[in-house]
Amino acid sequence: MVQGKEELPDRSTLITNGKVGGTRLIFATLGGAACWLAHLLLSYGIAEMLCVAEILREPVLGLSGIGWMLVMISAALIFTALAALAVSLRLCSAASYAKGTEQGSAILFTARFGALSNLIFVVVIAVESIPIIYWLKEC
Amino acid sequence: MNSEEQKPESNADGKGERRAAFEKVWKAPTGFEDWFKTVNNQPFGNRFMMTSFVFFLLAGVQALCMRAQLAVPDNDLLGPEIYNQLFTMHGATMMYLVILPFLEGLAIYLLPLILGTREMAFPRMSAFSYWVFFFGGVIFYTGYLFNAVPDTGWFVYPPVSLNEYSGLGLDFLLVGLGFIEIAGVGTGIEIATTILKFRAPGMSLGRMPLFAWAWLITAIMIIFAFATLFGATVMIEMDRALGTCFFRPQCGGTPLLWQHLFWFFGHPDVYIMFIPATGIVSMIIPAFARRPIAGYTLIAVAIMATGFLSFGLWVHHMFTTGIPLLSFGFFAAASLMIALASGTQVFAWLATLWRSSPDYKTPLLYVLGFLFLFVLGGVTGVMVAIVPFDWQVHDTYFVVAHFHYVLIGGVVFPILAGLHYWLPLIIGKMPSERLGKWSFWLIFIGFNLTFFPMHYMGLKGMARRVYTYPESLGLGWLNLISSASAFILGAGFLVVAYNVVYSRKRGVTAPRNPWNAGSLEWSVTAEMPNYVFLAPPVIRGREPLWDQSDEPHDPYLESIAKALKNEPAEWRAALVTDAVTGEPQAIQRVSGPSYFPIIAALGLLVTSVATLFQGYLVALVGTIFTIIVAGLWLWPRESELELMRRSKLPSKTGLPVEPTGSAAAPWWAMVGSLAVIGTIFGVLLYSYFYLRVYSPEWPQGSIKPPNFSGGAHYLLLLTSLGSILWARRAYNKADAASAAIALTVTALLAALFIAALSAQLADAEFAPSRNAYASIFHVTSWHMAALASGGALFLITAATRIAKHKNYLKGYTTLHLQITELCWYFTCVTALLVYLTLYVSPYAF
Repeated sequence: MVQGKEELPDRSTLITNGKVGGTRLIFATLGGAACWLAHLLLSYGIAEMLCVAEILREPVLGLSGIGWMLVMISAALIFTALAALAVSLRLCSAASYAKGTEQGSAILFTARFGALSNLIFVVVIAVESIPIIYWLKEC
Repeated sequence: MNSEEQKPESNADGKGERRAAFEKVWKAPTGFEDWFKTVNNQPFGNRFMMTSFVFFLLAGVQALCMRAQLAVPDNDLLGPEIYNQLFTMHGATMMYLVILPFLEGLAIYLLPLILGTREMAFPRMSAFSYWVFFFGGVIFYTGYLFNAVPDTGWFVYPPVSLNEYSGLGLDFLLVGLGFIEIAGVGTGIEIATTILKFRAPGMSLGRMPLFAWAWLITAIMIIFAFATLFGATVMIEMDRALGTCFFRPQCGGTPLLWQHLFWFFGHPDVYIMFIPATGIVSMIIPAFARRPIAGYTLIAVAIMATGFLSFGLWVHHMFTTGIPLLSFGFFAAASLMIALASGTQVFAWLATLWRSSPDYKTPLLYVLGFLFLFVLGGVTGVMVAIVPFDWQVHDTYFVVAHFHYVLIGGVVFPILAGLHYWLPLIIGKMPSERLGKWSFWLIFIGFNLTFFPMHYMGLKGMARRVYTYPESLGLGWLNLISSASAFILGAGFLVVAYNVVYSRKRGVTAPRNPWNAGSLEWSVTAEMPNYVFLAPPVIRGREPLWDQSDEPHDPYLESIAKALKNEPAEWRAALVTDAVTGEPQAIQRVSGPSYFPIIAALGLLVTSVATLFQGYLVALVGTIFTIIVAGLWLWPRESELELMRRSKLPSKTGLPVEPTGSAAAPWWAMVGSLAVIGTIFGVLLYSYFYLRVYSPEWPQGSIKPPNFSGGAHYLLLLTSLGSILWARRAYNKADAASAAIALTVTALLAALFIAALSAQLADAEFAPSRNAYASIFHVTSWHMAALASGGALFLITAATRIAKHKNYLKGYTTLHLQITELCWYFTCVTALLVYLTLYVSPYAF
């Protein structure tokens, strides 16, 4: 083994102790971006397909069925992106106790990166969805 | 690393012998072999850049010819036919053969230096990608020899691009394009794997240079965008050569489907060129401002956000084609929001320069020119993201002005900055400042005088892609200024070329780190050896050469680096680190010189040229030849594996030399390859539903689609999940015989599936050329059969390896099984989606 390695703390602890699992880290980092991608593809698919097929176009409470579907999808994905934001913020605090270590700094950066990114994508999803309610209601 | 480390050591303790052996392992071939066998990153980086520069000169001449035609109204200097050919070849050359290949060359050259590793992850892939790109470029221009030059525009819109209206010239373009897509995807997978896994110890994501951040995102974008274009290109070539109906309205297809697929590639492609350019800027500004970049994390987030958002903008190229009002919101908003990400980077660069006392050398001048021009191009980008404005200026010179500000101002200026900045590292000489400044001012003034008037021309209604304009439009004088200035711009580029040649011959020898930059590539000089770093450098901060980090030395990382000095001396290897933390994970073998890359590229060339002239038998032979060569290329030599197994490095470092799972570079290559294949299936499934929605009758032509039981052969693949799980269980118990049998059974099930599917397609009552439904059904099924065939090949080779190495079921054998499993699970999931689409959806809704 490497000389002096035995005296060092277990280098895999931070990743494997359950505080910073791989899946959790990926969700915290890319969750918001994935939600935005899902939002765009689902919204585009639904608008394109249902409008052309003339399905769910009748207005209900001032908005067509298609419009309501899009609003619900937007709400669900904003909620999921917010969850990713919350996870990334929790990771920030989980990693900050180990900031002085190589791995702690790396995880802290990734968590902060995720928090900023999730925030941006929450805003983008919201900006893309709001016109559906007010201005762009029709097929 | 310092210069002393590059000198041979004394012979004490056999260290000198180890060093000599190490040098020998990394020695590059010379003479004839150097041209065709070498695989190192530096020569291939150079070749990419020089080849793309030759194409740039051709594209420049085409542009000047166009401007000569447009200099005065009602001009007939060239005429409409040649003008159409010129704008097609100029656009296609710049988009496919110049900007991205140059940037890829720069990345292949620089990334190992910047990341602190010895080589790219797959050096033979660099070589293969270069040769494929080179052959693609040659095919592109072969049309001139046959007087068959494409004239459809670089975007190849049907119906103009269907064979009723376009001849052999377009086939040259499309086949050449196929080559470039393969080269692009190969390079993308290689670059992404290198950045994720081949970083110096301690280089966590948060310490990674922004050039690498930019390339990580770009490489992932290339994989998805180029795979989409590849699928679309194959579909349009099928429409032309085999009479399928994807884009042919008279048999149920729709030209708009092409526009969706093309722009799903085309818009991200702009950012695929822009993001690496921002990476260059983010390296140069701190060097000249003499301080770390401001807002590092914000820039990294902005790069990632730009990469994602760029895939959500494709419809803004289609605002005038008639899409539901509801859809405008998503695409206009995404188009506007991307300015947020780009703007963040601009503010971070300005903040870095703020109150610094930079030395206004040529690289910085080009960067400042970029900032000015890109902001202008960005503002007009926001304008065309607004739907009513886009309707007004669509297909006018306003758009020509906008995208030249983005692509020349936003991409070519940073490339020129990077060229002057890294030239000391590439040629070993300092570029001439006097010539550099001359070139900058000629290009900056020439560019603005050429393209700024085009905004006004567009607003006044001058249409693009038209060979002339009437005098009554009153734009003659502006066009004359624009044309004359284009020659000033061209002269500027010639000065750049002259500067490179002049500096190489007569320039002052470049010292180490001439700009006093903080990034790792400046720790070496142009005389660097092939392996670049004798021992991996340990990274403690974002600017390793400035070393401002107050973090203590990490004895573990230092000891790993020490153990790897001169080592291994028997085979080429690089350190693999964790993608997030930069922790050492393994020692990965990297491939050495080989003729296989160029032979495989030649096989592909034979296949494509034969297809072009409808010699399908020769094409089949070429395909089989290429597959055999690829197999020989990838199969590791037993003697080398044996050397690795005898290595003392695992006991010295605690790191495996035969990594498995996500620690192994080949595993990432398989993930990348599956992403490509998955994207192509995505293209086919999207096309299926798009055609269905816009077709008044589905399936078209009263075809009765096969029902649930008609696709019963797909159950064979579902069953194969059981046999591959059996293989895994047997392997875990070290029961090699059972594992090999289980894999063989899985391959047999795959073969049965392919046979049944082929029989169904052969007996189908509808030929692929009958209508769009028949086309999409057949082509998706063919693709499924091809995927299952590839999977079966992996299964058979894995079974052979396990049977052969029954006493050593670990290391590469385990990795081979893992890769095979990954491929097969993907095949089964894809098969389920294809089954649901082709066999269930026509009856379900």
